Amino acid sequence: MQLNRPFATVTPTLDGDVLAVLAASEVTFTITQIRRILTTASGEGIRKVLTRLTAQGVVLHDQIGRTNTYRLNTEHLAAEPILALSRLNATFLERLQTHLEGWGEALKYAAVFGSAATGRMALDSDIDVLLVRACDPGHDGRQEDSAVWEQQVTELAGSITAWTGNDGRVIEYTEDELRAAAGEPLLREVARQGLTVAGTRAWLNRQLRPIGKAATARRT
Amino acid sequence: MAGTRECNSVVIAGRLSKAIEFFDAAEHLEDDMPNAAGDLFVDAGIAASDVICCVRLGVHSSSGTHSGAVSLLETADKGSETHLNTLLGLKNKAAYTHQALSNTERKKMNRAASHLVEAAKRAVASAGQ
Repeated sequence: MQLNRPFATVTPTLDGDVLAVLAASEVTFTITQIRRILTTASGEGIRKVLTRLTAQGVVLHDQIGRTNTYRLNTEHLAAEPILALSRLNATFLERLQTHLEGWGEALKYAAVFGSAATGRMALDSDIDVLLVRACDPGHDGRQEDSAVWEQQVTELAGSITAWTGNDGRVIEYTEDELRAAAGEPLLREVARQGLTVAGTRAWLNRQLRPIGKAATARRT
Repeated sequence: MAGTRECNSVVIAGRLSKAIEFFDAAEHLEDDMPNAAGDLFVDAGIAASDVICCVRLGVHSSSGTHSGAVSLLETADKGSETHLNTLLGLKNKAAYTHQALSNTERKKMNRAASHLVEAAKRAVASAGQ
């Protein structure tokens, strides 16, 4: 699926995209406003969709002077599932957060990054997740913990696929590895664009900052 | 909509980038330069609010009034407007008065800006640009 096009899971048509706009806020929209948000749809296409949805009663149409306005009919029987569909991205992130809460203190930080975080997913995009583990199991020799961690990571990737249909691509760092790799473009991308689902972004920035500052100083 | 300006994907990307930049700079400075950080938290919150409004409504506030910006954000993302209100309420103290921000106020601004920046990122993730 495309987390940025949640209605495409049930309909590939423009109807879904228009419903996504109407469901995102409780205001009235003109066709021009919807077109501005959707960018690639034609005004005529949007008008036809709105006419269809108005006939179904799921969209309310008003005319103020010469201006036609439209809004989601939140009292309609279909409004609840429509709103639930419009929130699939938020639901995914909430489910991921809840899932990772069970990992305890071994997990210092997690974030979704890549196309799932920037709203540019294709149908077959991987969903990238960065995990930062509290310690390196190779250093302290806690092999049992390491086995549990690996099992959790495998299950996480499987859960992401089950929830979305997309492959979950998990990138793991220990805290030490994270600090050593602070200048890597991937970690910079996570710090800027990642959607935090465990720990805090402030913590991540602190881990990456000292080496980033040193690199800047070296350049100048 | 009156008091608003139309925006497109270029505006969304640019404002989001600035929101993140302002926020990161503010966090970096906040222990040593709390007032400068406070001002940057406000800038981050305003830029993030613009992103949320652009994604959801296709416009951002250009009214120049705090109430107009807060009201538009409430329309776009109910609940987030309280965070913008918090930031705008402390903007004058951080930037234009002789008084220094207290630690409590600075932390409050950090939380409010953090909420808005994360909400902006999630809005973009949900709807694309």
